[in-house]
Amino acid sequence: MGDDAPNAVPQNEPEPLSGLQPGQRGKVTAIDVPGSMRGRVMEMGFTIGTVIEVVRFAPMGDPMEFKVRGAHISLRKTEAAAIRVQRI
Amino acid sequence: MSEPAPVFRRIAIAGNPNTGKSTIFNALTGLRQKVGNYPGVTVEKKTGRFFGSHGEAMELLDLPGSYSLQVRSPDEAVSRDVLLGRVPGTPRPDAIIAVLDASNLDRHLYLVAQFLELGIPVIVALNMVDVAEKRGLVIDLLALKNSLGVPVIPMVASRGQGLIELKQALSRATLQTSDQKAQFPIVLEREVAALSRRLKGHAGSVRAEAMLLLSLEDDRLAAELKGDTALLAEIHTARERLKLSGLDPIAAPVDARYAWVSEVCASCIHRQGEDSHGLTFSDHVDQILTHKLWGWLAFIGMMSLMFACIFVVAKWPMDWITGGKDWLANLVRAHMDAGDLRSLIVDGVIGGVGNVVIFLPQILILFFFLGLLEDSGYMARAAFIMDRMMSRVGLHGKSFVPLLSSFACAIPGIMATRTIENRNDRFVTILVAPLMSCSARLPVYAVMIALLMPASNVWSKAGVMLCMYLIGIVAAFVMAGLFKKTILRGETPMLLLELPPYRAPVVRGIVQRMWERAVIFIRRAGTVILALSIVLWALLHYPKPTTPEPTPSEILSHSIGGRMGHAIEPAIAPLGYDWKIGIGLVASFAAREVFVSTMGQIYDIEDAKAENEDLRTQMRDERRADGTPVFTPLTCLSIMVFYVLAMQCLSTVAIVRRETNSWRWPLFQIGYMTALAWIAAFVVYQGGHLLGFR
Amino acid sequence: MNATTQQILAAVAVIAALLYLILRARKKKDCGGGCDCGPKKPQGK
Repeated sequence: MGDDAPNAVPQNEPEPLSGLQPGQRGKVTAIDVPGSMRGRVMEMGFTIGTVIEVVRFAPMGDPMEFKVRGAHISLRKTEAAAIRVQRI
Repeated sequence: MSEPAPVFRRIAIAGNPNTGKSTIFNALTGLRQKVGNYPGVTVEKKTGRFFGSHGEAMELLDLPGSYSLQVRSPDEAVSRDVLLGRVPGTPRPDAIIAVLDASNLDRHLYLVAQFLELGIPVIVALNMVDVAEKRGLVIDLLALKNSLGVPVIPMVASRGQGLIELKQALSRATLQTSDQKAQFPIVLEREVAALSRRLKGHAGSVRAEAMLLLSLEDDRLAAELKGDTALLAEIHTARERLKLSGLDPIAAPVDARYAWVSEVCASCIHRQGEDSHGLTFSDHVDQILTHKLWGWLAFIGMMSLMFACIFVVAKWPMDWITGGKDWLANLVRAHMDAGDLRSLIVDGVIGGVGNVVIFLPQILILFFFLGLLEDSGYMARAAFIMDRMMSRVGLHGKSFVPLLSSFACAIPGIMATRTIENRNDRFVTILVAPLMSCSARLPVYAVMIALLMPASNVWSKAGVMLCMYLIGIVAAFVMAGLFKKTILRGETPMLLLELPPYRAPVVRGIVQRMWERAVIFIRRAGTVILALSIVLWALLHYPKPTTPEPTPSEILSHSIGGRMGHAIEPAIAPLGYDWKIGIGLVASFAAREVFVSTMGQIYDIEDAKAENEDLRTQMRDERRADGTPVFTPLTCLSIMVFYVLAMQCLSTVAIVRRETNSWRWPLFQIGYMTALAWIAAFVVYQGGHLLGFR
Repeated sequence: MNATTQQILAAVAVIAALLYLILRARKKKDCGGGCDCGPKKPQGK
């Protein structure tokens, strides 16, 4: 996947989705979104084992845009942080 | 509320948002549509009629676009309850048309999986196949039909392709339910079977319902079960059993459905030439429109264009309406002697209704633009860009466009808040929308600025006006933040926004919706406003002074309205106003720009307008009892600030009442805004005094 | 139309307007559901 950034997490450790950069992809390992949002997030396609691709950050830096199961979904950084992925 | 004539079949049309569902609905039903209500919720019940291939009458029910049947708010419950047949007055549909975007079956089939669990015949309308084809997707329709066990109709609804085949599929003598569905883990199936025995309804329905209940998060479950503690306990124990088996009750059904969806897609979809990294046309456009720099420029450009159109393009029809209004008034004056009825008709009716109709061009243009933005998909990008700023005060990016629209007129802005799903957010947006300086305030600003700084050049005057706008914006954000922390408390809603692919807007659909909303506005606000205008006229004309041939200003002072102006004088004196201005404030409640004509009436000037020199001279020369001028610069500033923040618009009140379904909110809005306006004007006036200004 | 007739007609109109508003406010309060009076959300696209 190219060079690792200086303080990158070893590629097999799960990390928050919000930590990924545009172009990087991750496989979901856990969804720790609180309350009733958890089911909603999963039904939108963020299920365990799904591959998520980071498309971009919004012009103001937040929220983030992801490609999930063929659709483009936007989540705030704080929300994406609750989803853990394994970088691939 | 029973249906008038018997129908052969009742069909519901459902699907994800942005699939062209409305286009299909409109194409099938044409003008035979009706909008009604579901008891207890704010979702509209849209039904229509069409005729099948053999001429039989069928009823089509348009369900709101959703991603899942799972229920997390009372409004979302509608779709599920209708399909379970639990809504009084709305029978269980005989069939469901599932509208899917052919380019994104990987996700859209999720909802179909849920439909298949219901045991109702489903017909899949595979829409936008033209886009899928362009993207290199080849869908094996026969394989899809077999995997789903239901008819699949390829369509390009915007071009009318596939409609006939759809009608044929709907008109078949018997519609069969599918024998295909997602495979759930056995432990889950067992719990569902056990739970469904506790529920009442159709066999298919209770299974589906049980599945949904088992996977509903705790914080919604209690509300959903409405106090059935026994059932709640059972569900909890069932969930514990599932967890012991190693299943996550929330995730398990979702995973199972998506696993099934993936299987179906694998067997039916073949991609040609495009790998998963391929960029579509939409992606390319987004690289510009959401770019750090170009995205902003495009955004500001788009918003400016919208505004320019509203202010410039609307001017012609607005002038035309004003001309018509004046012509009508003159006609009445020519044919009727002076008297109460003539005054009522000219000032009360023509003036009152005129003040409503004059909004119409701006509203139409605004709705047209909003429709274009929504349909094309850009609206989601606007929310995406602005979300950071909005979430700082606890709002969603979707609140941005309604607030922006309110710069033209709060009425379409408030109506545009319907896209905000979260009730609290929507109400907060509605409450602060009128703080965004609408175009009706412009005449007031114009008069006050002319009085304030008659000698200054255009740029300084524009600067002051900009300040007024900024005060409104700041106030809106501050109050929004305040409301979200106090009375309309709620977590900042999750963003979870889909950015749909860009597509060409269906103009006919937009025009139809624009027309519908305009008609609603005219009919509703028009009737209430007309009545309120008549009442206001009465307040400003009765009781009559006893002198023969009284001047307009005498009538005004003697009336209830006038006395109210006198009565509130002590309350507004600290703001630097006298009772005449007080009358202006009271009269402005009908419409803000009435302030100018009311001032004219008080100073006995016929037909006063903002550009009127006589009015300005009169006002400038007006003196108080102690000889000091009334309209000092500080007073002018104070008046302007008051107008920025005060709630003075009957039409808006009527719309807010309608959108919130109660009088509580509009009254609260009037209260808080008046208080805000008073305090701000007070601070400006007294503060200015302290600092040595006059 | 002389002044007195006008006065009477105007007064009638005012009372009619008041009654209309009162009746409308009443109707909205009783409207628990099923009648076309509540606020509406647009359907999904």
